[in-house]
Amino acid sequence: MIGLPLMAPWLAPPGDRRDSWIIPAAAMWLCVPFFFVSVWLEAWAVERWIPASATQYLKAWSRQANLVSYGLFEALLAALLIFCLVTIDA
Amino acid sequence: MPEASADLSLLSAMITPAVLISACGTLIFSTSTRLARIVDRVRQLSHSFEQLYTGSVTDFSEERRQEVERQLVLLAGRGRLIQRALTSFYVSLGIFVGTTLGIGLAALWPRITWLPTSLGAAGTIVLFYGCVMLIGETRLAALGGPGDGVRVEAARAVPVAAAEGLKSPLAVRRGGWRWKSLITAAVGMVLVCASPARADAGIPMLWLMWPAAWMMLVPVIALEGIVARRVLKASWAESLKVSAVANVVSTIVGIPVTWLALVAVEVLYGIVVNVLPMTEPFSRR
Repeated sequence: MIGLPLMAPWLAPPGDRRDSWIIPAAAMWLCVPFFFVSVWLEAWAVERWIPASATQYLKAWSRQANLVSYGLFEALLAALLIFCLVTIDA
Repeated sequence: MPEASADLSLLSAMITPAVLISACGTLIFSTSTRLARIVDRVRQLSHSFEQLYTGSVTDFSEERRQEVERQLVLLAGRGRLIQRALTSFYVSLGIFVGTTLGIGLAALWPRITWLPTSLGAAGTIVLFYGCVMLIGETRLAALGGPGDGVRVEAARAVPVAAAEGLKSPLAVRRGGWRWKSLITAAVGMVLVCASPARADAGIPMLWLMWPAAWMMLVPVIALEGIVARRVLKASWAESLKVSAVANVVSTIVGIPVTWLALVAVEVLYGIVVNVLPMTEPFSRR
């Protein structure tokens, strides 16, 4: 569990089916750096696409929009993680 | 029975570099095709040159000559890069075959277990170098297209080469390749210090998350479009356009680049945890 954040990008080969929960857990962790990069990158990418009057709200939009989308990802992954943990002995 | 099992696991270990051998073979095949195309194009341009100098073509002869020269300069640069890439792929193929033999020999003489590891790392570095050369060649190929806009870009990109004509066809390379060499060296260092590669080397999460990100792209664009309409006070069309551009860029660039950076951190962590303790016995001596 302690090493998971560092090992998340490239997971070690899973030992058996009981380790399948690691995949959604790693994906949930990876969503955190992806979120921060997306906030910065999306604001940068659309800077020239939006009307000049809206430029001041760009960062707020990027942050809120990514909070919504990554929140959705995290919720889906959390559901998958719970499913994996519940069916671990099945 | 246990002996048979040991033999089978040795055979299985010896086959492990086959994945990379196969990758080398595929790259050699595709790179050879590219080289053949370049040779064909050079022959075609030489024929055009001949026509210009014999007077068969008189319309815009000076402009045509300049264009042919420019393309020959680019093709010479591409040819050199392809030649380096091809050499790298052949060398790495040989090294990976050597790795296979090394694994077998290491089973007989355990004292040389370092041999297949070193060969595997060396082969991977050479393969990576070849891939970098191919990327450079692809960039030059994009500059050499027939479109006018592309030609203007190409003329901007190769002013030194254009000024020096055919005498210095590789002047193109002087521009911005040093940083790539630095990256090659840095990645090479990381690979040299990395643990030996195996076919069952775990799960690269990008392979799972990237397809998922692409599948979720349309709903995410819609979702972020709604937020854009509310926050940016823009029209629906503008909001969806902004959201689409942002998410396509973030999916194409953001996710893989971030993942690569995280993998680099993981590799460095692996070096610290795995490789540094291995130096203890040597320091004790």
